[in-house]
Amino acid sequence: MRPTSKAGAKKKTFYKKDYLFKRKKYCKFCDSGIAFVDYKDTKLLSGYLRERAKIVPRRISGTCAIHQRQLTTAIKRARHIALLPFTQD
Amino acid sequence: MAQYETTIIIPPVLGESDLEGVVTSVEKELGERFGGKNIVVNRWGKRTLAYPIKKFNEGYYVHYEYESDSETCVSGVEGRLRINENVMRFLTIRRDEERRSEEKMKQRTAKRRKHGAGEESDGSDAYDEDIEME
Repeated sequence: MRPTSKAGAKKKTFYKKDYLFKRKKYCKFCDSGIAFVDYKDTKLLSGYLRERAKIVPRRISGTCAIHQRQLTTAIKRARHIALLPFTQD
Repeated sequence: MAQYETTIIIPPVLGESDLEGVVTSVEKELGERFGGKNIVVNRWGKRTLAYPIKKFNEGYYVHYEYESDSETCVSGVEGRLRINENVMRFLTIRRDEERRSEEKMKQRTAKRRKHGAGEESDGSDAYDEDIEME
């Protein structure tokens, strides 16, 4: 609790959170019970690439740390064997 | 016994018999020369590459699964593949360690299902966390 004057409080309480609906993120791999992310499953992996074929960060996709680690190695393997692009234009 | 997977890409310009020759020769080397066991060959067939390799936009994928105890098996096979002109790319991964971690994860999720049905919050709802949209 921070002691605030009335004027200060008015400014500070204006958070994005107050006017945007925020959906709770969750790890889709945990949810669907995938125990290991396979590099051969390109359909699944391509969902975790941005349009420039960069890996979507955890803070956006909501993937848990364990699965994100597996996901990155899987994507990198798939890239090596030309199943997924390194970059796209 | 360690389990391995190797995927290779063969150029699309080879004829039927040449292609067959490459696939079986790699299999033979795996089995006879380097002591791979329980070899399973999966042909994925011709696929478009995500990016051109050696100016080819397509490649013929072959996937081998095998087991081996010998330490020189993978290095030996990879050495041969590196020399082989009819193999554009190869990737070998070890599967048994991953199977182990797979089991671990299954145990973990089972545990979570048991305990944590009630506790949803994991502290990720920090008050002034930035909101990311994509």
